[in-house]
Amino acid sequence: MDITRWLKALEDTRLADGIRHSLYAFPLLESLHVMALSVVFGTIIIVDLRLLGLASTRRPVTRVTAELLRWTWSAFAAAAVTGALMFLTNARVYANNTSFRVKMLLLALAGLNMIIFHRTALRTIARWDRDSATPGASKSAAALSMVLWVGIIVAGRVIGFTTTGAEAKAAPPSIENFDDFLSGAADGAAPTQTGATARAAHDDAANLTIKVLMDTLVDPSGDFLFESVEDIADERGITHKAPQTAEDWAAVRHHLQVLMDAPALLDVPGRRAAEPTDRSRNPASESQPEEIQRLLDGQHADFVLRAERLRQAAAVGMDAANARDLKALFAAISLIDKACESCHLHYWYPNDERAHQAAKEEGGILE
Amino acid sequence: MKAFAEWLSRSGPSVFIQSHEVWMIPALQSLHIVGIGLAVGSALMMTLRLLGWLDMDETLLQNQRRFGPWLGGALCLLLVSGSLLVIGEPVRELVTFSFWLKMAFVAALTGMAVAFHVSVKHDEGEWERDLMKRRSVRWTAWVTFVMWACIIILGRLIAYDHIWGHLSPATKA
Repeated sequence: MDITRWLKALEDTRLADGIRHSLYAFPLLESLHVMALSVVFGTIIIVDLRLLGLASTRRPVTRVTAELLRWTWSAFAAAAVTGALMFLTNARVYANNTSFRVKMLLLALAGLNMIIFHRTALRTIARWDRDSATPGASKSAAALSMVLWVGIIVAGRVIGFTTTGAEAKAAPPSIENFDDFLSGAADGAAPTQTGATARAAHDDAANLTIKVLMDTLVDPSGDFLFESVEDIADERGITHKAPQTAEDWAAVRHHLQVLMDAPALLDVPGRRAAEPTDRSRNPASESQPEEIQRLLDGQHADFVLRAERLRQAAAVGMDAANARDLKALFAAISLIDKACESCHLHYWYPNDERAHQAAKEEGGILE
Repeated sequence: MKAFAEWLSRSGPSVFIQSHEVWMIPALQSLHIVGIGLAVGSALMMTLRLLGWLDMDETLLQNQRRFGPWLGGALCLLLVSGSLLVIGEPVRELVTFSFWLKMAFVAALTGMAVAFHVSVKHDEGEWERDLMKRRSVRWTAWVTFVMWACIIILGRLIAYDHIWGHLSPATKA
């Protein structure tokens, strides 16, 4: 489907780029969104509580709602605009996020609930406008509305914990959604895959190459981890970059989980290294798909061992992340780096002398 | 404050929340937003009534009786869920500029709400006849909107405290 391309186009708009690159825009949009939704929620609850006979019971229903709903709708418009602007900045990630989808579904249900209420119970309002106890249909519509709106708030907040924030341009599909990913149900799942690899991913699991899994799962998570804990030296001196908020830590754990789960996918017997068309651009140092395949076929147990090394390093990192131990996390990420590099040196670029030399100097795993 | 936050983060209740943070933190934050919705909704109704923008068929006191308890209840919910969030993530919350500026606004706004409530109860007639129409009172009503906005913005900015630059204690760590 072309929806991924549409979403990508949204991300590439000047507006989205401007928001992404501003220090203040995204936090401010979030704040305005909370303000707008608190007015939407707060005013809807007043109506719901009146219909349930729990508040404002001395006033007729129509009088409670008459002057209120214009505030609800104005605030809803503000929430929709701020929400859309936030969506733009990372459209593919949000569109593929389960919490985001649940939130949209709940919003649709809340709208449907409102329409049904207007077409049914509200038609007879003249009969019960002044009653403190409204008909059962009204009460259930009100109760359902309250549940749906609380659900919308919860789902909305969880989006922040399950996407990695404004910077997450191309989050990998999470392992939980891997079945969707394989069956092609989640078209936006892997923004990094294109053309032939995308088609391969849709065919069936056995057709997924190690290269595809690397490009879509392992590399994005590895890059995220390598970038999330580091020392940055610039004109202001050395600053330590580290996860700070609960969201940051949740993102670190998510990517560690991907690296813990990926080895079991990588070393499935019969998994091919790459498509024959995935030619290397640096054949002097990198092996071609068929050369890598020969090595893999000849020593599957070795590959399993190396994949297990990655899983163990990621598991050490997960323990560190659970304890929020930065030092241990830093050490684990270095282990992950070494596990990656040792396997790449053996299978991917065994003839790259410079890479071997660098690995030796950095104390990498060589054999 | 950092030492206190770190001590708090090692305390039993904090450790309990941290060990269930995957669902507890989002749940508490959601509960906090529900509280904000209830508080903003009821405060908005009372302020708009004070400005004469809606519900002019009921008196200030009637309006206050209708929404006051909900505002009070919502503030209690906010206090409880907010405290649990602080206990769950003491360093994230307490070692920020946004949190303390937010608390200052919350204290000021709560004081104003209580004063308004007491005053309307005692001098209902005077409020209806005179006070409501005073320019200073109307300006104060507008100021409360701005304060609500600041509180919500600052609450969200706790997660982005670095935007304050050197004002944020987190950047000094």
